[in-house]
Amino acid sequence: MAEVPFLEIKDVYKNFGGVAVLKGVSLTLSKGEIHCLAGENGCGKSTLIKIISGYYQKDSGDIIVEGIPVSTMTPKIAISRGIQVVYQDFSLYPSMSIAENIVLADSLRNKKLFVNWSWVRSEARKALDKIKVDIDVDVSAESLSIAKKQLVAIAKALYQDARLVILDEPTTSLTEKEIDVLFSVLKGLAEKGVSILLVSHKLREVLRISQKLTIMRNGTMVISDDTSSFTESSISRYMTGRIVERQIAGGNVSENAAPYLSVSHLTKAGQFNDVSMAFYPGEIVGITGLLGSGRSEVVKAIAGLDPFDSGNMEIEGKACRFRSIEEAIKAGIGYVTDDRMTEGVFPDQSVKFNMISASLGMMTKNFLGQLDFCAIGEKVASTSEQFNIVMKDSEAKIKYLSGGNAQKVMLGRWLLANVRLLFLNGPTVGVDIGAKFDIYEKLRELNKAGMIIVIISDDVPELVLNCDRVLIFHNGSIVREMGRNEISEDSINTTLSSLM
Amino acid sequence: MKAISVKKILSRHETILFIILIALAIAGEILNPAFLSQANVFKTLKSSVEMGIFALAFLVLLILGGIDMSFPAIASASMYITIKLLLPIDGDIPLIVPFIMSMGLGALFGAINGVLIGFMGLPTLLVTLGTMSVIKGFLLVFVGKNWITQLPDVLIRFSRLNIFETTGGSGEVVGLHVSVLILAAVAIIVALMLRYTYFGRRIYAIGGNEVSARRDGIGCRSVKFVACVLSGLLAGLAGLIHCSLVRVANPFDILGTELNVIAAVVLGGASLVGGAGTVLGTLLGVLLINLVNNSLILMGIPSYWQDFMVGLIVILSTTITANKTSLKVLLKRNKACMEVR
Repeated sequence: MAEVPFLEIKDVYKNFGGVAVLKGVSLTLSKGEIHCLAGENGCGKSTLIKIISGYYQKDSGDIIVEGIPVSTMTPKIAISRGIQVVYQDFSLYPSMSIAENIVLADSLRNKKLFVNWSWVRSEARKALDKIKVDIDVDVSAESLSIAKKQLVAIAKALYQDARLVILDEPTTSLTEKEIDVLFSVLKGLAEKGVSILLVSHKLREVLRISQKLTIMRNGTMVISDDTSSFTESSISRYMTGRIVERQIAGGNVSENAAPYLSVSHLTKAGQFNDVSMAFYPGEIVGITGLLGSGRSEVVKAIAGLDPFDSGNMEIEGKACRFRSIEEAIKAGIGYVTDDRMTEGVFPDQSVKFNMISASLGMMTKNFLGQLDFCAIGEKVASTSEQFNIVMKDSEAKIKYLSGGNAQKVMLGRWLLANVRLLFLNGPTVGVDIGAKFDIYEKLRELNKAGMIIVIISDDVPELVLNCDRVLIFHNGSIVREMGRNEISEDSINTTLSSLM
Repeated sequence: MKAISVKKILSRHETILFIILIALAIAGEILNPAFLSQANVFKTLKSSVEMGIFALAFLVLLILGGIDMSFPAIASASMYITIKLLLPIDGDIPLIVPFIMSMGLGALFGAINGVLIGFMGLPTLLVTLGTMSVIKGFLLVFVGKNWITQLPDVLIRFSRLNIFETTGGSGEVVGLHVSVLILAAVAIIVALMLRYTYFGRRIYAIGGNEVSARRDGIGCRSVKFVACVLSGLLAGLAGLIHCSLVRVANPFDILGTELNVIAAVVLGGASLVGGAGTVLGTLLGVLLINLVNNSLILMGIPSYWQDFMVGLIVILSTTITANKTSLKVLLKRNKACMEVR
């Protein structure tokens, strides 16, 4: 009989406020296995690890640790069963010494009363020796580099008898060399029988370190297999998903039209370099590239959010440069952020306020600037209807709306602001699949009505489905432009993986 | 190895404070030879007792990450109620009784803070501003607002309890008061608790990073509650010592001294956002503030300048600590940028 796996997750479901985040996820982790959990942002992987660590409760399904089912997982139970999470923020105490950071949590659980500092130091040194790391245990945690903080966090997890260490995006801010150190530590642990669950979306690393790979998309498990049976492009295909059906995008582009907005030689040191592009009336344009390609930075600079160093911008042939977002909006350019909850909406304000916040200046009824509430009510009502926004009424706070509905409010905001060109960064991030297609449809309607849409996205099918043209960024420059006939998932994926 | 530890000691906040303290004392002595006389040193120590105990009470909650505004009110109420209860009793009562009463009342008031801050998770500053006002109002409405100049015998006895006595320059007798020993004992107990018990380390942990503390399974609620009780108890003790030393139970005169205490603790190097701070630093801060005030008096400068100086010290030491950290962050960021390139 095969060895009992350390952890089995069976058919786990989880809903947040009516949005299904996990839809029947299963996962098996053997002892001493390095397992990678991959998927795009918002696919549910962080929810899954929070369920494993007891931070959230599952709605249904089973969690089985070493053959014994755990009906309700809490952080305490998880820790006592040897499940430890190394969070992205490492969960250290900044002004405490490394020694104390490693030993404190475990000593607290053992209900000890007095601190024996020489014992604490020697225990911490032993814990660091176990992962073959040499760090002075007397310095404070805040004085360490990120890589060392992470190693301390791993030592802390092991000191609490971790049998499974879950690492959430461990390589995000590490250099190549530091990643090597981390990976050799992880391999050493796996040889000692500790299971490792690595959450990552970096394909190359995934292939390098893991033995097993599970890919999630939109709250479901797409595939789980030996890592050796994957290639970079197959991983990215599983991660982004297949298209349902190619619909004819755009079709409103008139030949020989003059561009509405064109930029040339846009440069900002360290972010993007010599970017020239133009956007024509009637188009839906896609912009993509790997993380750190500078694509969002360019767009933010154009939309007046951030300054750029040099280059020219023209709107309908007239030179311009926005010093603020207000000026951009006046010139007809809007920007929808990918971080909707913190940068996009006013969470505690009503849907109504959120929808009109970019067009308040147009909602006045006299020279004193008095708001015309009748007109506002009508406009909000008709826009809500147009976008099919599901809500109690327009006075409801926007934070209670689902991601898809909140995003539609954002679209409404820019429609009311009469922008001619709308940049959407990650238009369907955190939006579930049904609402996704709803939003695509609305985007196309806006486009038909004359708005130029620019979608900045990682979601390849999204680009294929909607765009007339796709620009691919790398290292701050456009490396490829695809016309409508060239756009396909394969062509975009191949280009992207050739850049990795 | 040795060189490193010397450097470490020199870079410690406490060392810097100590050097400033010495420098100030020497400067004071040069300006006024009475400055370092035994009498003046004893006086400075005696006047540091009350503030020192208050500062330790404040420190415990500050390490937890909260700014406590209620300790003067707790001290006034505990002291005043204790005196009121003791007055009708004739005859000898043991010295320990008023202390137990006042500390018990302080702990009780602290427990009110503890329930609100610990178990209900409310912000310390706002809660203690509220309880400060409530306790003060309660005291003045229900207990009384008159000065009690005839203290119970037991407290007068206490106020005369000197360890040894000496004759001052102008011929008056000055003694090293026993309350200095009380401060020393309290300081040692609090220091040991903060440094050598896991309860103390929990306080630092919660103040340093409450999210991590929760993830590590530290019982944040009960730690906060106990810390509030402890802080209240110390305030009650300081209140009683205060009234006994000035030989009058005045429900008003402790209120309004909080800025001096905050100045001392901040000067002592405790972080205003929690997670850092030491007893030694706090005591040095108390001595420094007292020395500044004392030397201003000796120099014959109007006492309004004390307020000015104390305020200045708060602003300056906060600026220095804030800049230290922001400088560190800046340097780190620069380094990170270099590494990326």
